[in-house]
Amino acid sequence: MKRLLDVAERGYRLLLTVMAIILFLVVGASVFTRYCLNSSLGWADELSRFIFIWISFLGAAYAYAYDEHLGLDFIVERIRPAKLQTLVRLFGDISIGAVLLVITIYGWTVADSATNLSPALYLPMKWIYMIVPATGALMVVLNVVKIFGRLSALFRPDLPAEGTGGNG
Amino acid sequence: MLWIFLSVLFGFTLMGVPIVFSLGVANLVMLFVMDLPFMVLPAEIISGMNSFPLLAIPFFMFVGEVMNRGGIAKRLVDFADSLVGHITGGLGHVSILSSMFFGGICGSAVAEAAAIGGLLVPPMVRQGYPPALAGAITASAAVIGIIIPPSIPFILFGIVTNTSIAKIFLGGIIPGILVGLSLMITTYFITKKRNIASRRADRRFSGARVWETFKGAGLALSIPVIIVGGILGGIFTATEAGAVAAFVALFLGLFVYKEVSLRDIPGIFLSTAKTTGIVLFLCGMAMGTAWLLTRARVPFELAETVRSITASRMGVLLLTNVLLFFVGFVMDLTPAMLILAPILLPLVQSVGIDPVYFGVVMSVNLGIGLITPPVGTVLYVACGVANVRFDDLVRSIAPYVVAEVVTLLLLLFFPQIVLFIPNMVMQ
Repeated sequence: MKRLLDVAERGYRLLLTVMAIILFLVVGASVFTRYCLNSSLGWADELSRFIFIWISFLGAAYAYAYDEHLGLDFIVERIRPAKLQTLVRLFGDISIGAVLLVITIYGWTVADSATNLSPALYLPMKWIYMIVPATGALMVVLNVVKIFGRLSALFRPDLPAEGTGGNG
Repeated sequence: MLWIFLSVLFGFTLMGVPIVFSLGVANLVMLFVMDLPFMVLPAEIISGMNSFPLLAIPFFMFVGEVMNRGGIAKRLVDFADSLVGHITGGLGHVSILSSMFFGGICGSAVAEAAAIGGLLVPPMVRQGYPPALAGAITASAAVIGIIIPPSIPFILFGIVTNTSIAKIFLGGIIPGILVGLSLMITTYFITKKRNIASRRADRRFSGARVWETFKGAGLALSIPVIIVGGILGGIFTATEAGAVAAFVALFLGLFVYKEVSLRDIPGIFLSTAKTTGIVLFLCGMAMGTAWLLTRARVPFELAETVRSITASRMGVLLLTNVLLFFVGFVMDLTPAMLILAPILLPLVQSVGIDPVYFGVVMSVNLGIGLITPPVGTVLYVACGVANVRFDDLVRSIAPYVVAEVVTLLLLLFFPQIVLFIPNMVMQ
């Protein structure tokens, strides 16, 4: 199980890295052809925007896995006893879960109802928007794991119930 | 509606929920109260992100990543040292001037605080600076990074208000230099009074040394020339300038300075993708908020309230800036910019304030918010690089906050400082 997670994570990183490199090359190529060859690549603008949307959502999910989204920790950190702090964080995680569920479920509705093709590349917009429910579902899974981590910290008296409990 | 939004946002933020998700909860509550379908939330996030100008952000992030690893920052520091290192206050001035050079290359204050602070805080402490003061100088100078173009807040303002990003970029040049000067003057008086890094007889300004270090830094300094020149000449959009800057930075790091190896490249792309995800998710969510608040007629009501107090141009300008200054204490720059720019712009335009001018002023004002407690992203970074306690840093940074507020007041009373270059170049 541990190995499977490791492989999945490495694959995910590879996917993010490769997409960032492609984005870099596509925009670079479009700037080059426009200024050096005097012809613009109509598809490049569109493709770069789509890859950009995918990277944004994939990167957001990746950052969520490692608790790297910006927030204020210094007040919660001081809450004592530790159990109360965990309880507050648990409530926070559940509210995050609600936001993620809405993004996943209604993101699916939005993507599923998009029937048009993109103007330059004729890509179905449905598949471009599907990244929203896909990464949303991934974050819901991560969220559930985080919630279970908090619960087990809450009900186990022998372990310190602090920390943000990030899960890879 | 505004009060519901604010109390939900701050309530959840104080509980330690990341800002992006606190905004998400606030958006859900507003959707519920306004009886709109939940579908609006993902739809608004997507349509907010689907924008070519926003694409400039990953490129400027990438430049920041390369600069941190690629020896570019070090060469800029050496060059700055040859120019101002001999003045009383020594490395404090070097830190500020380096931030100004760096600001011309990278558009993020956080990246700047990390890069320049990491390089200069240890030598500043060796030169006699208390760590808290060294951290305070680093943090306040990092704000220049988002005022001298390129700048991510300028891009965001341009996108949400449909204002020319190129013009805002040009408008930031003089204010950025003024902020730098005000910080250097403050540093001069503080170090003189406390006898830190006083002038040494053996250290003089030397033209030969300037030339020597310029040979190292010159290529790196070509990046801001390309960006500003390209935009000035109407050749590049901000996104294209970002892409060119990214290629030049990578080329310099790989082949000229040779401090980036091919093995580092995947890591640079991965962390660029991650920071892009963090920033863009926040952008999408905040744009959703702005849409909802506009739909709830908050901008209209706010404008009515303000105009019932004052109807003069200066009155409205001062009032909005007082508001922004207080927002800066409790809110991070990116969400504050995205949520408030569309709300405030109709108000200030109704009394004849130029949108380009307002974009620069708003960025400077919210930029000061990055170094005011309790919510100041740059302060946290500076605490880390200088290894000092938050309270100590806050005490040392107070005179620098005052210096930046004085500069902001100059901009408010003399709009020409901002508008001179854009009006001269683009008619």
